[in-house]
Amino acid sequence: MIYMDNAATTYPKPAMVLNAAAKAMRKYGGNPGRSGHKISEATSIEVFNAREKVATLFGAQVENCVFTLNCTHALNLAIKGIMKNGGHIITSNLEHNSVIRPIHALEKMGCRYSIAEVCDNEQETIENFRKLITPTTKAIAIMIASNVTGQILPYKGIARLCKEHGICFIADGAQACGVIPINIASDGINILCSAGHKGLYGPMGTGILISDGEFGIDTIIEGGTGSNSFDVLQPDFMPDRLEAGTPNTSGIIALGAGIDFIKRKGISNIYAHDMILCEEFCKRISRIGGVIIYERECAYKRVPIVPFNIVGMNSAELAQSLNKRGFALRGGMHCSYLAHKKLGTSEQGVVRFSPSIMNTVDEVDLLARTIRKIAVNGIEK
Amino acid sequence: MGSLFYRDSAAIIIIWAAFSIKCNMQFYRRIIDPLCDKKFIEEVDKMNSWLIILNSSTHAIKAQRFLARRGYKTSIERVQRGNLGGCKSGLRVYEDTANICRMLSDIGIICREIIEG
Repeated sequence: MIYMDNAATTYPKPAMVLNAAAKAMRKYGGNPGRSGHKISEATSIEVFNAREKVATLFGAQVENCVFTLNCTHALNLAIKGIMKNGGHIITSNLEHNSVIRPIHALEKMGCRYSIAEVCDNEQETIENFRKLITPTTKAIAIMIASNVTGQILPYKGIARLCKEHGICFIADGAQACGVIPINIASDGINILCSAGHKGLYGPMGTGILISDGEFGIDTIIEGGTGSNSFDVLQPDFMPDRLEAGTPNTSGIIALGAGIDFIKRKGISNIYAHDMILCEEFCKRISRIGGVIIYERECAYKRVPIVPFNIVGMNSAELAQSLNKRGFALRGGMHCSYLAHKKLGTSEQGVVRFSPSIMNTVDEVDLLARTIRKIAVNGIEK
Repeated sequence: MGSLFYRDSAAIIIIWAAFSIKCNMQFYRRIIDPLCDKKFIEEVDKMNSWLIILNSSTHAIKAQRFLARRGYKTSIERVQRGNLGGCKSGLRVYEDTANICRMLSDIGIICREIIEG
């Protein structure tokens, strides 16, 4: 199989990540931050090393970097933690369900939300957010980059808007972390949430939440932290406050190795490589009759994602046809109904091409020729 | 004969490299974990020490590395402090406690309590 569904999760993982996970399972088996014995201490140190790598990569304090199970977990902690006592929150019309679902669930707690339209023009988008701010607005939560269109939202401008109004800016970095350079301080992000298993090349079952310490985050999960055990209240210091329960230790250690990998390769080099593959893919399939590439002419900056379809074919069927021919791509709604509503693909969905540093131009060429065959001959029944 | 020479030379180089790496790791470990250094253990038995109570293991490791870069040897212990909520991490230091606490405070690490001995 040729895997090109890296926006879902990167695969295969680099050898150093696999080795780090295996070593962690063998050698670092103590529960970190709990027991006082050498095995637990050694594991604590390795988890700290990974935490430090996250902090350095995103320009944060190490204790403000929290490990979660995935980006959805991080976003729920952030969104519900900021909005626990009610208020108004703004999000965009491109959001993944990991943002819009927890926001929608807040309505039961008396919160209100508004959806701002994202345009091709950045200033217009920022203005759309500005118009929705009210005296009770407590947060703006948006994706940095769309998992459907690849569009990078004007997150820095929206961060400045939040700062002007004293609003918390929560950024979903699932498609952006490890793909484009992000620094929470210089970018003005108050809380950054990310998957560990996409652009950071870590294993599934890992995610991160990074806070700049400006806004206190209420807890939605309470439990054992290995600290303050006499106290029935969750600790008020980070990262323990948001890390209840035993962490995914081997995953976290392997995530550290993933960060080493992308730093070694260079984030800009990986981005350039992946964007070249996207350009080559678009060049090839744009010559095929009946193929639609969505928003290709739009001038916005993007991450390496290309949504496409063949006219008259359901995206799930197209993806399945590609699967039978040895190509792993995702078709359908991509857990982002709002984005499809905006694209006009709510019925059909789209097939998403999302390469990684592990893919080559030859593979792109093979995929394009396969798409041509399907476009000419139809999907085999 | 020639190939035997190269094989033996390669073996010697590999063993030397491994020994060198081990020595460097031991040197580094002595800075971070002085309790692995037997000589240091003998010396500190004669020294005064203080246990600085910090919130958690994350804070303790951060503090230890910060201080190690400034030449301070410390070790981490797990402690129970009922007056501070229960389980904590302690950083054992052997000198300059007041200055250490001030430096840690400057980087956002709160010294909850200092216990002598």
